[in-house]
Amino acid sequence: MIKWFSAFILSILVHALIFLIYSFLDSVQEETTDRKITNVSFVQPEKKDTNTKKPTEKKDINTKKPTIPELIKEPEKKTIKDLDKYLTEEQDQETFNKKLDKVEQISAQVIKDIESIWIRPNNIKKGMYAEFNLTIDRLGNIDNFNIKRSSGSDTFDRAAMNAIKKYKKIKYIKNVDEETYRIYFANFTLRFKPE
Amino acid sequence: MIRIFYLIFINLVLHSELILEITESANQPVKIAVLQKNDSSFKGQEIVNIISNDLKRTGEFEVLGLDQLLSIPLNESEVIQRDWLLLDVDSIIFIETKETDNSLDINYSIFNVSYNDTEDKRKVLGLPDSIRQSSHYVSDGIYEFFFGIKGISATKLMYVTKNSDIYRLMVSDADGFNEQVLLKSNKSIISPAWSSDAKDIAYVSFENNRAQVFIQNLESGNRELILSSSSSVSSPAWSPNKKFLALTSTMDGNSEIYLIELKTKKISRLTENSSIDTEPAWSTDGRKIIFTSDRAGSPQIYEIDIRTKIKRRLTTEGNYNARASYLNKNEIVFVHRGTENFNIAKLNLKTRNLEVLTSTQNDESPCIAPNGNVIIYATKDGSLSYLAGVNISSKVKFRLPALYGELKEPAWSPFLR
Repeated sequence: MIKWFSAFILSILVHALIFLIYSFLDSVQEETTDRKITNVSFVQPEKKDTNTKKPTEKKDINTKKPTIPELIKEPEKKTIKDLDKYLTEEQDQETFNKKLDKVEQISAQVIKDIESIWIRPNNIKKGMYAEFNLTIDRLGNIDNFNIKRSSGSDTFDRAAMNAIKKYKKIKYIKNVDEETYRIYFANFTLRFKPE
Repeated sequence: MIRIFYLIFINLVLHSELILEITESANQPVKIAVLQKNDSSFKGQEIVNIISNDLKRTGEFEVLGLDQLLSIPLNESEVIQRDWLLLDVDSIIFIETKETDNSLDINYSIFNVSYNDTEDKRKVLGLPDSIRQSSHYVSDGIYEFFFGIKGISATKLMYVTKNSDIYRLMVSDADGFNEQVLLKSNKSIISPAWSSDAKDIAYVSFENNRAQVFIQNLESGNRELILSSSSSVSSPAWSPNKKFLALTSTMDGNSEIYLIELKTKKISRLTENSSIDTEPAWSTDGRKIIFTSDRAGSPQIYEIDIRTKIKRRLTTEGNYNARASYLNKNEIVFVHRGTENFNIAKLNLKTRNLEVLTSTQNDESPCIAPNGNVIIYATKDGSLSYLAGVNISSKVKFRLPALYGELKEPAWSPFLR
């Protein structure tokens, strides 16, 4: 009789223990799923199943266990490890963007300036364009220019060259840093392509 | 619109190429000065004045007067570049006249101020009594050097004047000088048209109390009645090969377009319907004709293929579109009324883009210069009828001086040489 009673108590204790352990683990999992918002939707139905299919749920819990620390810790570790590198990259990108903005500003200004000088001829045909290589010194003076692609019309090429010759100096160049000057403006192409 | 093209950075540090694309141009004219070279003479100054006026009239040149200059060089070697750069002058044109008993030749050179060098040297051979025409050829050479298409100073204009109820068919240089009367009548004269070689003209005269088409040789003055018929014949247009004349006639009871072969006088009918079809104009290749028809209820422009007789309507915008001519293969010019005013408009047949070119109110009879860049038309200011013009590329509008009470029906000659 005592054996049966002891077995009964033990059984209750074991079940209670199982219930407690499951409840504990379940709460931990809910915490993690809160962080990964995308998982919330499928966590809720599983929670209901835990009451009816305990053994299988245990397996599920066990299989999910390794994923929990992964979800929490892995990104943190990565972030911490790559933080310096990430910040440096971000800083580089910002500097690069600033340079690009500057290049774009100067380019737009140069286009506007030459647009106000260029008197285009009347013999323009569809798709006609001419390209010129420009060499600019550190102060922005147009040191040299030569034709890279002729339009096929002497008049068109001449009118474009007159505009370049008249422009003489890109005054904005002296304000850019050495690297921007060297990469973008020391040599560049000017294309005359009427719309 | 300005566009900037960056070739994307293949390597941030090592390689990058910047391409700046210029798509718009300045609306300013080419700034020049026209000077006599080496020694000045009265005749030389006359030539300089004619050339300066020709270039100014295009609206595409700003010609500085002597009083605006900082220094007056006698030749290229005397040019002080700084003076000309200060004035923002693009080029100096040096004119040298060489006259003998039998000839008057004009040498001209184009000196580029930015390069401080002569860019081009040319010569026009002429006769002592043809100063104006030789000067016009110089102007056209200068225009072509800068703008790549032929100038029109050395062409002629034909028009009709009305003064004290007398009609005169006149021809003059493009600048209005050298006017000559071709026909004088107390009855109306309309629709003058040049043949493609500028040796003959055609026009409509009402001298016999009905519209009749005549052709007239400019050298001999001989004229010939085309199509002696009791019905009205009007709107003559020479084919580019000068073999045919397209015209409008009511010979079959209704206004239709006909072709007449000038050698054989053979007539063929192009249009056939109960509406009014009129004002034919040839395409540059002579394969098509555009005309005005009210078959859709209001005057609109139609095109007909001469070989296949297939027609198509070209204009859809506006309740009045008439008197069309081909500007080139893809564009036509005509009188257009959008809402109230009659203006000269241009339609691109490919893009369907319609551009109103004039800002006056009662414009009619547009005619296109042989270089396709200037349109002259008749317009009215109160009771005064005069000729006005518009430059297609520079958009500059101008007005021809009116010496008569009424001046209308302009027709621009083809290139004369």
